[in-house]
Amino acid sequence: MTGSEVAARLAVEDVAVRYGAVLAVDHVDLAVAPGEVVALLGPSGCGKSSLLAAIAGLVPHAGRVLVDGQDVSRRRPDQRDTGLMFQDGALFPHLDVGDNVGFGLRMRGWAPDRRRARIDEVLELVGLAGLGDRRVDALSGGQAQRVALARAIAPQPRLLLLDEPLSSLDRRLRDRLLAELPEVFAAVDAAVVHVTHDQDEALAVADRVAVMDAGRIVRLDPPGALWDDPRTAFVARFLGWHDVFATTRADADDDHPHLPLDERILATLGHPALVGVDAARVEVDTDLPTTPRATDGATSWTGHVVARHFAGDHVAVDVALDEVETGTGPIVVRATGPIHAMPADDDAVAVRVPDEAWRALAVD
Amino acid sequence: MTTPAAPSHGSDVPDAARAITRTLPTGWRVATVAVPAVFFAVLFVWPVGTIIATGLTEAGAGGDALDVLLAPTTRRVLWFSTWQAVLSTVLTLAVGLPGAWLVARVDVPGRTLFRAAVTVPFVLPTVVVASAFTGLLGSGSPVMAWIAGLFGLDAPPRLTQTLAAVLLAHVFFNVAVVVRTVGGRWSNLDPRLVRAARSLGASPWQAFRTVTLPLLRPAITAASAITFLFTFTSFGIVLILGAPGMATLEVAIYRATAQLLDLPQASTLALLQVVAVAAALLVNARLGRDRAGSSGITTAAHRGLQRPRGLQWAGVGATVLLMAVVIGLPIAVLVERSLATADGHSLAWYRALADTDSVLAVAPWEAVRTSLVFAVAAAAVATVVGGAAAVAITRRRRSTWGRAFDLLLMLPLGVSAVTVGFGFLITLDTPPLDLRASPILVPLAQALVAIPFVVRILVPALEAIDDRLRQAAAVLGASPTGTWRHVDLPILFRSATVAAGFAFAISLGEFGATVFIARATSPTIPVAIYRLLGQPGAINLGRAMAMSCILMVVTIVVVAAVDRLRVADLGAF
Repeated sequence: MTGSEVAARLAVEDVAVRYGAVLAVDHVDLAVAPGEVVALLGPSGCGKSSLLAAIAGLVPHAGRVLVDGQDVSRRRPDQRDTGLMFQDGALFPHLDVGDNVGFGLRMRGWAPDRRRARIDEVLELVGLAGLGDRRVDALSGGQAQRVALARAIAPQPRLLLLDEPLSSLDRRLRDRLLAELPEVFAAVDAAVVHVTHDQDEALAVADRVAVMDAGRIVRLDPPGALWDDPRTAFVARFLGWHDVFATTRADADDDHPHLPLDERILATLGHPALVGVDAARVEVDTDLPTTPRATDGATSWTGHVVARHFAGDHVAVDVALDEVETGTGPIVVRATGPIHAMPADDDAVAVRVPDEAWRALAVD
Repeated sequence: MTTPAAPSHGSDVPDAARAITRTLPTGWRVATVAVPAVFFAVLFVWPVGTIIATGLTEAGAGGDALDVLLAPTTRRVLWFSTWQAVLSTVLTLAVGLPGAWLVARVDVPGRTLFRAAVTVPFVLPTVVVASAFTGLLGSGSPVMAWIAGLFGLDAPPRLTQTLAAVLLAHVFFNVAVVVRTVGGRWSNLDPRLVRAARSLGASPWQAFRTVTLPLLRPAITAASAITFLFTFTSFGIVLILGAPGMATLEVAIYRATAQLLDLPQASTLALLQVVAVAAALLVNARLGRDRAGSSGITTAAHRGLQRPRGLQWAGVGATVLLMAVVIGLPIAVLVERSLATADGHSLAWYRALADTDSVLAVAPWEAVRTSLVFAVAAAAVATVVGGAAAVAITRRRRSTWGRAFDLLLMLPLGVSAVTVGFGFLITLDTPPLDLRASPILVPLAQALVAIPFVVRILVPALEAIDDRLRQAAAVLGASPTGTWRHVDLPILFRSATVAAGFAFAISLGEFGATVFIARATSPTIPVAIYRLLGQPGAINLGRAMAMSCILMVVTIVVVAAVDRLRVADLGAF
């Protein structure tokens, strides 16, 4: 066992969860330091919630779960010192807000006045000061999630587990709560595992992102590194990369059309089967160049805009390339940029991708 | 760093799908099965089993039982039980369907009140219903006097102890089943279906016949089945209102035991009753398989309440009048009779309840006290035993054992109270368990009758508790016992109160089982009313009416209070 594992607040070793014939979590390892936030990101059914349930002790599992080096695998959920926040709160309907938040403290035998002080403190932290007497069915969706968060952190658990905590909220509320989460996490100094299927949420909140697919963690990296180099087509697609292409005719399929690239670029990337590019690095220009293919450290094509997608403060345009020799249907490249700088529908444009923007992607 | 083990998909990984997340402490787990199991083994399986065994033994010996089964009287009883039940069901449907329409489709002031009023008869004890119709159809009835005047008769007609009285009382009692079952489904039918039919060229009648009626058929079948079962096993109403020779199986069992002291005959009849009810339930379950569908059911957004127009007003008026006569009149006359004395109206009969009486051996007021004590005890027993059973059933919902247990607990409902009372009589008065002299016998029998209702209320309430609440509590540090105490119990508290309230109301009015086992010196209210009705004299009739009014008011108050709680319950969660 290495030193880094001893220092981990949470260590998951070879954990597996099985539902009948389905192996939902397939022998996963993961270590989280105190104060660190790890996002478990993956499509629904990838096993991320099952892994969380295993850590909390809610489902039987193989492998070991260690908290501060202690094996808690055989302990019941109430003996693991964990805070767990559910997708839609799961607030106790028979208790008011204060009693919900104080539930964990009561179970730990805190005296009433100490309990009250802590409840007030935590409610203030989540922005609900003074709402302790409110009935839980009189709360809005956003307030209910804040109460659920307050309830999970009130006993200062060593682990804080959040299972899709924001996905039942509308976008505006989600963004607001998302912005407040780091402050709350900082106040508890727990190892935080945040389960989500939303890549923006994962990238915004986490110190490291663990991408899960079919019960396994296929990637574990800080958000910047992950976004900059997804390495596999699955991760690239899941992060929202649109521009993923096959480098040869043989590797092409419906999801990955064949885009012929210069040997110079392919050689630098090591002749991968698939390549991708972050749409933000793709440049579009309505001033057409004279030659379709330039060699000034970039590749250029001509094309025309076939779709525009507005996304808040920026816009994505899909450009169908002209005159690209391919037997696999039209090649569409996506580029994003500020609204005022992007061309309109049907505009003829030049598309330019700098050489260093290409990333080799492995087929999964 | 150790080398990670090769991924093995083998059996080293425990199956999470089989794990029970609702971990109940072991002691509780055992108790929730053991308490109801022992209760039912001793108080139901043993007594009823003894009856069946007696019946079969007699039959096997080729003795009395076979004679009883083949006797013309038996066939007559079985035939009467059946055809009066069919007739009662048809009449109840005829009266109930317009009521269902009014409740489900028509937007008139007082609709909610109407719905509540129509429900009242169903919660009334059978003895109160029998009293009301004795008052309505008897010689002293103001209604009968009015009819005599209308047709110029010399004396008011007397309809008590006739088939008409039995049928009227059955309709009175079961109209609520039709109105609530059919009306409930009707109000959930998507009104746009009828509008679509109308726009396709159907007349209102054609639209009703081709769209509404087929969609209502499952509810109508269900309501008919329930009404048939209730009237087939009718006891108090036939015993009190029927002609002397008139007998359903229930009444025949009672007479064979209490009047003829012919236990073999009673056993054989009880066996016949069990078989008949089981057959009826089986047929009902088979029919029920086809009616599970929810096609045409809409959400609240499309409720089709409409202000009546033109001819519909006549329909509304006729329906209200029909209900007023069938339901309102018997209750009104019951109250009037309880106040009517030779010297005009007064509370004399109520005051007379305090006097010790030769018929009852005690003052009728004593019966009120006895009834309340018994009902409280019965409600407590039914809530504890039924609650434990509900927990056990919920935990094993999907297993064969769970379903078998569920069915076992429903059996007292089908096997009938008279059989239960008779079974108590022949098994629990001899060693090893001699409870004959014990005052606990009556509450135990009443609890047995009430338990199916308690289970029916608590199982859905338990299933409605989101398992994640228990998980949340566990993660927050609640032990299995703590989760049970701090989550399950508080959430169930309201439903348990509702169940206890219903159990109390049922026990208070229970007649079929109680009449067998109540000691002569401590009658309950229904038993006291039955005995008073069986005696001649204005004072006995008057006091029976007064007692019936008291029982009616208490029952309505308890059920209404409980119903309010239930509505609030649904609103809260």
